[in-house]
Amino acid sequence: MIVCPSCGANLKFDPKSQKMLCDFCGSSFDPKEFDVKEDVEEQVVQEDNPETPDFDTIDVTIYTCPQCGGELMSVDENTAAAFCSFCGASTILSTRLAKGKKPEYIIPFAKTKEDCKKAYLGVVKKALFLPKEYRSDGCIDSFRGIYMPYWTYNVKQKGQTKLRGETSHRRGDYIITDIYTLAGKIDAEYDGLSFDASASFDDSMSEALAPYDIKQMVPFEASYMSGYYADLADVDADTYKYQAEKYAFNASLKRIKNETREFKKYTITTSKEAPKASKMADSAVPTSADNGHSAMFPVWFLSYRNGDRVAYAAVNGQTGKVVADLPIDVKKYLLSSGIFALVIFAILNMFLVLTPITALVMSSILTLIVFVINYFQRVDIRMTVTGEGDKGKEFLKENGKGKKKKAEKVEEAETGVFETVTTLLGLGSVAIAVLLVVFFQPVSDIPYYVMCIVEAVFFVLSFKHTLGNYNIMATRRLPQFDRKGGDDRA
Amino acid sequence: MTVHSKKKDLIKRILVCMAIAALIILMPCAGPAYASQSSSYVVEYEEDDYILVRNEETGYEILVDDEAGLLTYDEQKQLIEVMKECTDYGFIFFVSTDEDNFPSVDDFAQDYYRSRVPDENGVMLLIDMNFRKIWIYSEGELPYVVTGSKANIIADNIYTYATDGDYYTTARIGFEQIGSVLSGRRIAQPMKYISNVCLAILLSLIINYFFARLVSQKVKPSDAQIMNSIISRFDFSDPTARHTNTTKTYSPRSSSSGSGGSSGGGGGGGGHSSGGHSF
Ligand SMILES: [Zn+2]
Ligand SMILES: [Zn+2]
Repeated sequence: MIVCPSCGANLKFDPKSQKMLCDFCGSSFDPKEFDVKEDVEEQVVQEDNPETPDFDTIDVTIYTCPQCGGELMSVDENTAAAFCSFCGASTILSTRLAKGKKPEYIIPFAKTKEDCKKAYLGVVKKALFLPKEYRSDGCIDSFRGIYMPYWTYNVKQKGQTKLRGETSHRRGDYIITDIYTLAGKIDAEYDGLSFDASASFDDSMSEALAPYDIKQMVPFEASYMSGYYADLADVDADTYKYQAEKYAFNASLKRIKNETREFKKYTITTSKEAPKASKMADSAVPTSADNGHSAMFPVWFLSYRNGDRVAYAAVNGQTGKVVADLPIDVKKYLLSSGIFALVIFAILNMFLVLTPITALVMSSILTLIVFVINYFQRVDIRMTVTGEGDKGKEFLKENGKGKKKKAEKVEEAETGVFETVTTLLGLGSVAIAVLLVVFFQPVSDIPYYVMCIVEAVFFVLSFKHTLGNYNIMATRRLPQFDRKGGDDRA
Repeated sequence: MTVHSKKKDLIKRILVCMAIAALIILMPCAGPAYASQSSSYVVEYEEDDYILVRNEETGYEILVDDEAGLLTYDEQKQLIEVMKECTDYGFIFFVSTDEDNFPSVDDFAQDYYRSRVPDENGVMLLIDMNFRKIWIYSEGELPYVVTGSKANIIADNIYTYATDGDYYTTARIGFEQIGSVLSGRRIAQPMKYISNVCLAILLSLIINYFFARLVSQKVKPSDAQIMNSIISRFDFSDPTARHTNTTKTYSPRSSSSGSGGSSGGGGGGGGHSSGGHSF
């Protein structure tokens, strides 16, 4: 706990002034003045073991959610937390004291909670179908300032580049291709490529929340954390090393291609596909990243619980960029679709007369579109459920930490029997419609209209799933953490 | 349970609203057709299944050419009475045929019409027994009035009579509706509204979905934005190009020396519009 030197009350970091403010006596102080005393024993250990990253420890309070096991830490001692930011439960979080590893760097909060609310409301204004609870004062008041752990990498490129280039010209019936090795000396550095180090913080969220301006990053001081929470890092430092290298590789390749006058006349054929991780240092553009530094980046975080689903909203605490899960209120959706339909109807009447055949063709196309949407939704949902594409979750899985209940996962990813039957029958009706239009071509209009109606029914039945799937995609299942304790990883 | 029934309630309410809206729009469609009585008509020519009547005032003619023999003489006479209203606007033909040396109904219609009164305003209702199609064809200025979709609607409204073999009713209602269209009255087109309502509902549901997806998209920063956010330096020096090898691939020049095919032709002739329905 950071104590006010004048009165002894709790000092908090104020994003607006970038100072430590005392709510009690109104004094303000420079955050850097509060040095956390260093642990002598640990420093001795480090000298024996130079490969261990340079970590100090800080005293923290760990808050654990009794429902989901999610953990946050704080340097403040006496605050009670009445809700969980991971699962949205309104419950008193249990606390315990622990020593946490001190991160190396921090980007302090620059946006106040008010800034954050304003930015959030600006975004949800555009989400017409969002349930109104998501805009309510009670909801947005639970935005919580959380420092998210990140790994930030420094990537260096020094040495000989060996690109492959070619020129070609035609001679008679032959194309002559001259192949060249395009060499040069590169000396480049990309510092501050960052990736979130908390598996509880979804990659889709953290990637969209980026970028953080690394120039504002300062050496970590516990005082910046005063008044805020922090999430715990549970992903190893080398998880994102290759990704950082890939970024640097592609960035430099692009610059060499675009900015080197001497190479303009060659078509550079070096693959944009970055080399394998083990080959990076010895590739066309020699690239190697350091082992990563731990850093804390500011996020205003909100979770909204709805039954067994939870929606997250996050506001970049430095830039104010908003990333939010935006589920839809089916009632609102149908209402505005009804109004919108009247507008479309009025427009259609001005110029469109459907013959029974075109009506059937159009309803077939629209019905097929819904089936295609549903199919891709299923693919998306399955990917999210299995955690594919999320480096942090993959890391946990490989390390056996992310074992979750299999049965529950499957249920969400499986297509329901009703949905499967609807889809099959619907596809059947489209097939009949195609046969009708292409082969049978009955004289009477009635078969066409009947098929239109049949398709419309399947459209509506399937669209119900489209909306349901959308809300599954726009929200998350309640998290279940099986973190054993803070000390080993905190 | 309550949430569910509320949802159903809402859907019901929306459907009822849409139905009422559709009714309001449909209401003025039905209206009586009345024939103009003022003009005087002269029978110019008459033989078996071929009657030509002229409107003295406008100069436009009524032609009944029942080559396929679908109507009785009395029916032909009655039909001419119905067709009279249309002569205020252009030539008005009733033609039936069973000729089979035309590739399509529209070809026959165009050929028939243009061989008699090329480029003049006019509408023709054709019953083609060969293709078993009702075809409504218009020329001159009239394609702007009796448009393709209007022709389709009218054909759609009368094809069932033709299916039943009642060609007189087919033609009578056809000309009544052509008269309505020509004089600016609205014709009943219930299927237009019903199918447009359905189409509008399906479209709005889908478009709104894409709108929701668009708004909720989590946009990743561009490479340029990332570059701006990090500290980077880039220096590239001593660029050299060393020739390593040469490859030769056989790739014959395309031998077709462009016959310069003259495209086009065609075109020409005035615009017409037409539409119809099988029966
Ligand atoms: Zn104080
Ligand atoms: Zn929780």
